[in-house]
Amino acid sequence: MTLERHDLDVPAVGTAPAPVVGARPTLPERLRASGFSRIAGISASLIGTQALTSILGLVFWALAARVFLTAEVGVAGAAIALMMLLGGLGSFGLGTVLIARLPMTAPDERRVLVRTCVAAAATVGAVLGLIVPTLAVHVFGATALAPIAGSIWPLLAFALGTALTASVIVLDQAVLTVGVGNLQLQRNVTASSVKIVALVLLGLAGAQGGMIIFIAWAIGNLVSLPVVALRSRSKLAPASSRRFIEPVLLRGIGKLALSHHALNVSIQAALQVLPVLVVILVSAQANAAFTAATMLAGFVFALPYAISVGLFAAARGEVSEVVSRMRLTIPFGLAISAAASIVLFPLAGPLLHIFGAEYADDGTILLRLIVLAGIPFVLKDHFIALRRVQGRTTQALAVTSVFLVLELAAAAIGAQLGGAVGLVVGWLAVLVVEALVLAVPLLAALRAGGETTAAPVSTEDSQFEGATERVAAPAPAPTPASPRSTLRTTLRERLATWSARNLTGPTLLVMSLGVLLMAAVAAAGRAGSSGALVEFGWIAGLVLVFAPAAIRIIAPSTSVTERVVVAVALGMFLQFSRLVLNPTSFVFHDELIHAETLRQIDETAGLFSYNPLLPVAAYYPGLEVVTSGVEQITGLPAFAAATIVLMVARLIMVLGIIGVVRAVTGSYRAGALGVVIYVANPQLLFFNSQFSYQTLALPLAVLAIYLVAVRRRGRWTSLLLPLGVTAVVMITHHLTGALLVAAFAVWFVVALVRARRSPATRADRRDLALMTVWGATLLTATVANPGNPLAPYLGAIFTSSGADLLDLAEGAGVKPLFADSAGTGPVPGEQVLLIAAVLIAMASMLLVLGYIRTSWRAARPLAILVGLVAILYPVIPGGHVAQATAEVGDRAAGFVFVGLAVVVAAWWFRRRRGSRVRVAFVIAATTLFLGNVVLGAGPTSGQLPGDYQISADARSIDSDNIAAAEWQSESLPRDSVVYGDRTSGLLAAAVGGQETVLHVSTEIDASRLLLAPIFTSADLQLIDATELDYLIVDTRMSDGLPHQQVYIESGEFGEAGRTEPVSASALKKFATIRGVDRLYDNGSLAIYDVRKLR
Amino acid sequence: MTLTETDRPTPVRPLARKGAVVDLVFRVGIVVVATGAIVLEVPVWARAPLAVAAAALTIMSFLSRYGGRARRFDGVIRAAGAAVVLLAVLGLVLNVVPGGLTTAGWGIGVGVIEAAALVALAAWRAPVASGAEGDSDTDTSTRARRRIPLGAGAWALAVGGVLAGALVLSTVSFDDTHIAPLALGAERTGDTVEVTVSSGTEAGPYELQLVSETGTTVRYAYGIYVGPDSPRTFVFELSDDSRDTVRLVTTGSTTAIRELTFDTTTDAAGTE
Repeated sequence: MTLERHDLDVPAVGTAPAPVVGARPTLPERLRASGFSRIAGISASLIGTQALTSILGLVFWALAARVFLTAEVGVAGAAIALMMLLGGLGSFGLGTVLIARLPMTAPDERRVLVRTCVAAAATVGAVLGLIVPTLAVHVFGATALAPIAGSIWPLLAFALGTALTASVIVLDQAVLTVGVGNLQLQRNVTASSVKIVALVLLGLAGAQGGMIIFIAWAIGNLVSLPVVALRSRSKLAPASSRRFIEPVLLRGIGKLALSHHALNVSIQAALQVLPVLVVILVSAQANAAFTAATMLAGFVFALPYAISVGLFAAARGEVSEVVSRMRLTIPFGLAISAAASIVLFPLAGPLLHIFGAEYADDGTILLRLIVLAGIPFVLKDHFIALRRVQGRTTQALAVTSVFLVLELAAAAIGAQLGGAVGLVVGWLAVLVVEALVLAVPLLAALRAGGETTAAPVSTEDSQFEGATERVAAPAPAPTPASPRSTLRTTLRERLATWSARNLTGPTLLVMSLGVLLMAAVAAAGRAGSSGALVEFGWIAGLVLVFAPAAIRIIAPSTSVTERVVVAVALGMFLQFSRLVLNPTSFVFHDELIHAETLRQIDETAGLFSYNPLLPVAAYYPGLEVVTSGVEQITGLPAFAAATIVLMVARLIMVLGIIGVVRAVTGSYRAGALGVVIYVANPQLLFFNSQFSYQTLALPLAVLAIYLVAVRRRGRWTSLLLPLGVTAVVMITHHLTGALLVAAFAVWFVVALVRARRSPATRADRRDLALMTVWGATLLTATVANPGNPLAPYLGAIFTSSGADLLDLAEGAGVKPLFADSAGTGPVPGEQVLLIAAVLIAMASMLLVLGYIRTSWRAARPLAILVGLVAILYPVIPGGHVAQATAEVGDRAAGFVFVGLAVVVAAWWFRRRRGSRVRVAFVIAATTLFLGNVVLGAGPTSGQLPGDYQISADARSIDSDNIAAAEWQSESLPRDSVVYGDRTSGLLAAAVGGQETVLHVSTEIDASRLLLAPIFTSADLQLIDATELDYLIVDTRMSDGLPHQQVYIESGEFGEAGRTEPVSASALKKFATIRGVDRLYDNGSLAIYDVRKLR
Repeated sequence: MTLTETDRPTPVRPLARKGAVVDLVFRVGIVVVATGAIVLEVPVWARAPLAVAAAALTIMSFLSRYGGRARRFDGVIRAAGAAVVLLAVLGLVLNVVPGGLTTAGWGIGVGVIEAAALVALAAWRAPVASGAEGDSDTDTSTRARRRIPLGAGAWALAVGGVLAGALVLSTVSFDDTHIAPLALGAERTGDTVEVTVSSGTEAGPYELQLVSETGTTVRYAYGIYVGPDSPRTFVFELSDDSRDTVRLVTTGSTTAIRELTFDTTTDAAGTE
């Protein structure tokens, strides 16, 4: 659009007035003292210049709106916004360079330098203009931009326009130093006038299409160039060189300009990208109204910006002066912006009528909303002005960049949810948050009164501060470009200073953005999107959560508090990612099993009932008891209560890891790093974040170890909580309980063997013996609970694992490494990640061996214990060679990584690590994390929500089988006996309130009812034996092989050697059986009443 | 040996300090109100905040005994662990008392635990800082309290906003894509069948046809439109000793898109 918030000229700055002192000054005196009059003068000049070109721009767009179709105006608005963005990027800060360089350049070289910079900008702009829209349309599928890049001629026109824009941006800055009055204003007025004429002529010629408006705009820029050439001729001496351009003149000045340029771009980009987003995500028609509204709102935005630029220009580098003046300019800017919002509220409609009635209808609400952005802009612009004068542009760039991403993400989400209005609301919401965040340093500066200034700024940096804001005078002192080494040193010092600050807030914000990205990708997956881009987005989200935490935790200057907070956040955010994947219900296999136990507790008000999905689960109800408690106490639904319990469990887990590592190493820093290593375990992201008994038992087990390790010796009360925690572990998960008892036992034995002579450990041995006996007794008690089927349950697992290993030894039963039972598996990139993760972890075994040796020699029982746990790591990848052992190996990860976390964290903090080692470590840790996610949860495509897949855990839960389960809940008698496939059976119990027949609970294999192609007397016998009431048939099973090895459960009909899906006839056979009613049909699932067959 | 000593706890002060009793009464009062709300099963919008407030007061009282970084960490992890342990143990206890794990049982149990904890914490381990005027620790903590953590608050707000946005996005997306399919369901009582047509989206027009075993088709209902909150229900009387089919077809079409069958035959069950 015509109004660019930062495309402003700044007149020369006069001398600062003397400060006014004495008794209470009058208002005019206070205004003078605050420098307000000078700021107001500069601002007025800026606004005047801006107003003239903007009014011409308004005429241009009003004409366009009258002559062209709304959709065409929308396309043109997006094209011009994109052109401005790419042109700004293409200018590459060279205009800034010219402001600084021209005064110190020999007169006979100035013309060549200007030409060189303009040519460079034009080239970069043209390349960007060709590539970006082409990629957007042809690679990323932004078909709404097809009018720009759908064919060659519009694309070339766009590239040319972008090149021209980049050129004029550079020229506009260059002419500031040439000294020709208001040359920039003249060029802008010329360009704007010619645009209008060109538009009228093209319209009269009958030209149509959005790109015609764009071309008219480009013609304006093109024609304005000779004006600059003619007017500046007398000020630029003829070139001594015969060459048209001299690239060598640019050498050594690009990097310094870059940071300032990046800051400018990060500020401008949102307003330039938003129209493009509207076209892509909403429609070109919607963008027409959006463009018109943005242009009108630009008048409001220009004012606070002009004030902030005036503030900066008038301050002349004095921080205290800026701060002093901010006391007046901030409230003034806020008041003006608020007043403008109020005034525009009733006037929005009438003003938009300038463009046409359609614009008024579509754009009134948009304009009212967009203009509100002026208020946060006041704070944002003042923050930038403050940081510029403080010489802290790098920090400002980091903050504005992060918020730019946030603004665009929120706008995109808003557009998806509520069209153009939603986009503005999303963008506005982030702007408000941003303003609140940026208000903090402003307030801090105001409190400090500008006494505290930032790190000293190099002369050259200061010079570029001024240059970036296009301050025409006073011209910066000529300073030669810094040598590269000086620059590097400066950057390194800046980075070190920046890194030493408390970055908890920014780090957490970036991590939360990762979660937001994951949510967006999950939403795309639900909507049916798939492919490399979606999967990349998911992985990028994971990296955004993991890597910043790892970076901050190992940075040498990070405070302990920040490390701990970031470590806790890492664990919690990863738990939160489970919620964004499945935000409203239980979907995983084990979750539905425990949801069934929870349902039974809620319905019967008693424990240890019969869970047909997994009978043993009901005998370890710790998780469900706690969840039921939260549910009953708060009145929240079961899923919400479960989410709270899982979050608390994760909190205990990360704090427990920190605590255990600290107990061994004596360092909280190591504890925080331990969390980084622990969360890289293959089970954490999915399995250990589910509503499953191990998810609570494991954190409690780690807590028990921690509490015993740090207890106060000699006080029996210090053992109360560890004893209580151990008891809860025993009633929560059998295997975790057994492993905790084993851990206490090993700890006791090691203390007995290696620390026998130490009098201090006598009490330890007694306490450890007590913990071991206590745990073993309780575990035995749970097993002795009448009806507890733990022994046969674990026996079956050991038997199948043993059989698989036997088969393996005989050369059979080898599981394909990179494929599930349906033949799908990780893509090559994921396979590389997985292998790399295994190799990294295997390499760490060397550390583990050394650690055990050292700890043994030092007689440190707890350290030896965790070392012995860590050395079990090979079980995890090794288990994947066979089907049954793969699950056993994976489940061990939650325990093994506790040891690994301690060992790696202890090793890392043994000595100070250099920056390269730290970078390598972060890369290795991130690779370990990503690779283990694939190892534990399968390929990324399967982790994301998407279309229904057969027997694929969460991917098998969809609206069809949920609807069938809900119908059962409403229409069938409670606790009727039902039979269905793996997913339908789970849902029938957990959601439908039915009693599902499974071999694991009845020891009857009824799978032929669904899988055998023909109905026989064997089916009648099965119906009779199971006392079956209803049969649930998901007809989609015949579409493919199951992903989780079986359609129903292990040992089912036809499982051995299965290469073809179950036949469709098998799934339809009950439709023709006499005595059977078909009671439900939703297209995918049918439910049969088979009671008459009993 | 790796076992480490934790810092020594702050010295014990009596409950008799100024304002302590009033403070305790206030806290216990909140717990009592929360317990009442739970036992009376007031709506969730009132029950949940009260329950959270009572729990938070108890936990904060517990944490106030843990000063310093190491002890604060210890306090947080113990508080979280103790909360889980107490809930689990309370559940086991409720399981063996008459009534079992009811809302009232949970409410009273948690209320008793919270009140007992508050009294115990106030009586046995009152904090030194709050009772010692002029104490340097007091000054420090007061200063810390006076200082508004603007930066942390703003960042927390931003992070919370982003996470909330992620959750809202996911929930809306989930709701938008998990739409109940067009379904035909029946509840049969003897020879009377109540057939319901339902759908998560606006759909129609449809026809319901009753097809007898002999092939006779009766157009039972037509012009049927259904939507998210507007299922349509129809009652059929089945023929004796017959096998009837109810078909849902799109108006103008002859292909059944959903189909139910009802068998009233009295013999030959299990044959084709």
